[in-house]
Amino acid sequence: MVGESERSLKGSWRRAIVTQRFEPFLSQLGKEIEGVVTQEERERIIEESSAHLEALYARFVADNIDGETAVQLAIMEFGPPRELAADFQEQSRGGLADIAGRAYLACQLGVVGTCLVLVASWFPLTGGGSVVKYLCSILTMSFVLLSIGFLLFAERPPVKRVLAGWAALWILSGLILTPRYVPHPLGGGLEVSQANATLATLKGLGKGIGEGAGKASGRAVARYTLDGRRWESNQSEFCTTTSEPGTLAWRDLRASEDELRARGTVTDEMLQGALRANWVQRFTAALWSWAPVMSQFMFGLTALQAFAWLCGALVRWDRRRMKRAAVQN
Amino acid sequence: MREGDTVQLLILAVLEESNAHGYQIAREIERRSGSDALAPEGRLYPALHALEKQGFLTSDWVEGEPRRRVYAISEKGRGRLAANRKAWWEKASAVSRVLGGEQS
Repeated sequence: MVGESERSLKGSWRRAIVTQRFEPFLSQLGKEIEGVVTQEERERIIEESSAHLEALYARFVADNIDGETAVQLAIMEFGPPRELAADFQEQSRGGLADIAGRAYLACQLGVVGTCLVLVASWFPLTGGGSVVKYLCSILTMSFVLLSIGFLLFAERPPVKRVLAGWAALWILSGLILTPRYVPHPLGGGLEVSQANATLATLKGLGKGIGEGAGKASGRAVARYTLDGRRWESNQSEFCTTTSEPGTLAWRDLRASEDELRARGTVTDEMLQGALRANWVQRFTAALWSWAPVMSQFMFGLTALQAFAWLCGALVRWDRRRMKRAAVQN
Repeated sequence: MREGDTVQLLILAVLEESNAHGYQIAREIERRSGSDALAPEGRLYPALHALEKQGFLTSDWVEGEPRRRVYAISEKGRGRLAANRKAWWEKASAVSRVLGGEQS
């Protein structure tokens, strides 16, 4: 069956004896299944395929078909190398590398999901104007693209990817949250709306609305117009601890008076000053306010990326192992 | 049943009667089916290798010109063939009842 043109192929599957007429096809098949099966299997597949093709060829020639046509018919009957490689890939499912590959993909989808959850968590804060909603959509897409980037550049060192993810998270968060925050007069960050509402309350107290409240928490809603916008106080957020008009202790209704005094008080002048904060101060305040949430997301993203890297490393190790075996042979 | 599973079932059915190499299996499937049921024939090999890895087949080289890899069904393979054959007929008869009509 193997005639005069029989020769030994050079390269990694040199042991397979094939005829010249099928050499291009078998070379292509060898390339397609490289990395899909082990080197030993690859040699065996080439040898079996060669014998099968020769048998088909002999059958067509016996049917009085000319040699060139018989070669083409045999190749057609056998099937395209790419489809056979896909079949081998399909049949090898369930191996460790295959499971790792799927886990890797799942992790990257998890990164996309985490980013979407983070962006969605901003909507209650930023859902006011149409411009902000538009911005949110762009940022959502940015995060999705960023995550796809992680997927595409899987070969990059994991530390760089994680650091890039953190940087993107903080920068994008800062950009979207900065206009919404001012520095808290007693430390940390404070939402602009809350600062204005508090200011409204202070003004209201100053005007006598809160008079007589003394050390009790105020229940009256104070309204105040500032910078052309109307603000309304949220009385559940703070209480008065002093009879001084225009001065409030900060926030916690459940805190004792001593605790509130220890934390200090906020005056309307302090709040007016906070509302005049520059961009850097606002950026710092925004990130400070979101630090606990951001830390959780950073931890989540890092854990996902680390696991994805482990899975990716396993897949790459498997590929390298097969290539090394190919070179050795 | 996936297409790959169908090819595996055909292989096991052929090897149940006698050991064979890939080309012989293809010809036997062609003879029994009376059609090109396997096309393309190269698809035999992924299925053969998968069956062997799972222990349903054994194989060995038989020297000749050229030498051939000859496959034989294992006991485990016979068990699988019996189970799959039953499942296949159940499915085929159910589909036939739904389709009705005559075979063209």
